[in-house]
Amino acid sequence: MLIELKDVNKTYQGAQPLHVLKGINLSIEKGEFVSIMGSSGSGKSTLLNILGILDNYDSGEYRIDGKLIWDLSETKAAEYRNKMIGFIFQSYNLIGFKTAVENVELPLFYQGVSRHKRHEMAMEYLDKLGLAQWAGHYPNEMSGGQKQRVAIARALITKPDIILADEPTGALDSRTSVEIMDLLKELNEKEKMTIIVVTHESGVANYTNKIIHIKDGVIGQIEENSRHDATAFGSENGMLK
Amino acid sequence: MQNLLSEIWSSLKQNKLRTALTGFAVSWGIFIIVVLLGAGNGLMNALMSNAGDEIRQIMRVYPGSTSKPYKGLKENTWIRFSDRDMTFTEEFSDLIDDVYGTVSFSDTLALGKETISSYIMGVSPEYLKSSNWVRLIAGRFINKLDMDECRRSIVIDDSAASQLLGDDESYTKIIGKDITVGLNSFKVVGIFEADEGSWGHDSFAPYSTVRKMRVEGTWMNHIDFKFHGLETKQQNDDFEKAYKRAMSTFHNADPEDTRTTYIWNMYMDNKEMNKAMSIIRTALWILGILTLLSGVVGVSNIMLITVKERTHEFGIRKALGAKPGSILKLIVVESIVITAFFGYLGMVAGMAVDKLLDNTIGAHPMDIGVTQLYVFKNIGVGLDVAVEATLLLIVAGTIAGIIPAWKGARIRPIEALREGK
Ligand SMILES: Nc1ncnc2c1ncn2[C@@H]1O[C@H](COP(=O)(O)OP(=O)(O)OP(=O)(O)O)[C@@H](O)[C@H]1O
Ligand SMILES: [Mg+2]
Repeated sequence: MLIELKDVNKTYQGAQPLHVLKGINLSIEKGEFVSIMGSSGSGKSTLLNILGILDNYDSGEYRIDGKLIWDLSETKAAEYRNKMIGFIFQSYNLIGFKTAVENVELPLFYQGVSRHKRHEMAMEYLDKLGLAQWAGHYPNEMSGGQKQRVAIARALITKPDIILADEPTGALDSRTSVEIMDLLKELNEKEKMTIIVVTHESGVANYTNKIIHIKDGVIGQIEENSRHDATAFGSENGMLK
Repeated sequence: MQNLLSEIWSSLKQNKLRTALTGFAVSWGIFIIVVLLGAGNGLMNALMSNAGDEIRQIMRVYPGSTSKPYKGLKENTWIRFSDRDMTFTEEFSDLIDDVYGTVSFSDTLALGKETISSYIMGVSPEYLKSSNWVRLIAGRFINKLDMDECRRSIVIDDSAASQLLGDDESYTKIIGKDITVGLNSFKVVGIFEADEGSWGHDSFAPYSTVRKMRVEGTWMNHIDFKFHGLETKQQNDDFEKAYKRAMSTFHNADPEDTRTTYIWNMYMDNKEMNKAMSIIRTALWILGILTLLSGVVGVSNIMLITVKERTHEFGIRKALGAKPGSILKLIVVESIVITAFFGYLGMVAGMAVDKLLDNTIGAHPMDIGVTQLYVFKNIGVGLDVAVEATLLLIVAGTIAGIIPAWKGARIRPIEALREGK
């Protein structure tokens, strides 16, 4: 089991403490392509951040490949994130003053990979995503779809165990969304990447092989979707959204 | 390192104007340090032309007069030094190494038709070392051979040399020539630079020669002696007291009479002068460092703002695997780079101003009516100050960067990523 959560709880402290995750139990195997669906405020992002070791949880157990993720120092957490996890964000999170290729190189920089090697690998990944000619461009010179593909290249470059994507198509138009989802699907099928996508769009969720519904901080229904005929996709307009 | 620097370069490019404005404060601080220390050095160089030389352990004893009657010796009787005053110091032979006398007379110097009058001092070779005002510019000073063989050698000042030669010739040509001193012939062996403030001419001849020429009732100007083993002020004071006592006794005056001799303790004077100078230097450094400190606070502030602005970026970096230590290093090195770069500009500008000052106010003595005086001489700082200032800059940059860096390193990635969305 690649990812295992047992009774994970998370409360946001504040003037009004908010119990967001109320005992999450979840297992995801290597090579799975799953989506986490739920309405706004249901705790999807909170869960994904815990999975990505960006945030900690209050109680329960979270293991990656058997390793307990609990009470890690910032340094250790950074190391795990760097080696095991690739992030794709709704708002791309590219660094504005770095070119596409420099952005893609960054995770390797933190692994101490040499400048030359880093550049070579980043170019290879950009090429794979059809962005070789955009390597020297800054993020603000690229379209949303292109930026997201740069972000995907950056997530892939360290060959992580898990790709975590929080609303990866949230800022894209439907045609580009289809492209991105096709890309993720291909990565899962060809490279056997484990991919977890958070979304509140059923169209996006329908691309994945398993849909995990989250409601009021607990896991609800887990839908097998290997035939990709889940609700609300293609029924009326034939497109996402 | 190269990776780190290119990271820093790309972020500095982002904020050119702000970086420049902050850097200016640092440039200014270092500029002030270099100019202050340069001017301070100039001042001290002018005060003591041989600043930094080893401290000579020499005392000079002048004769005085009795301050009270004693055993038939009346009050206000002049004490006179003769050769015997040089030998009587054997009493202190464990402290005193060598004793030299100085005798003098005035006479005319002549070369061909030209004559000038001069004050001629019979001195020992050591005299040069104990007299800051004598700067040899050509030839040599009186040496041991002159002394031992009572040679008729003479060292004259540059203006005397050019006057004797006639103005159209280079004064150094006088070296090796024989000139007439009174009724005797002396060979010129060296030339020294005439003191700006002095009137008339001074010349030096071997003590032994002058002593022999003027046997009848020649009294010594003063006695110099080299000593060792007196380190503290207390030791020096005690010795001076004992010496005066011995002198008074020797001249049949009241042993308690302290005015029979005057002692100029060059060693203690120098020591105290050096102490005063090091205090001035320290004060100038402190002044400069305080100025630099305001620059450091500026850099620190700007770095704090930068860290705040770049929170989201740091969040991204952390999500991608940046450890707190690498963020810390990034910010501290950035701070050092800004401080060092602009500090270096300030240092170069400061040195240029020092050079300019040296060529203007340092090059011309000030006219104070009766005489001319150098207020500044050799304005500028040495390599040591440049190195110290560079180290100071690196320390300053680190200090400026440490708080912002610590803040940046502590940012939690989850909060940083949320920011600026
Ligand atoms: N840092 C925080 N402090 C306090 N409350 C928070 C914090 N982050 C999220 N929340 C709250 O926790 C709940 C779950 O938030 P979360 O972002 O996980 O929802 P989501 O399912 O991702 O929603 P959406 O689809 O709108 O992105 C929300 O009510 C949100 O207001
Ligand atoms: Mg969310």
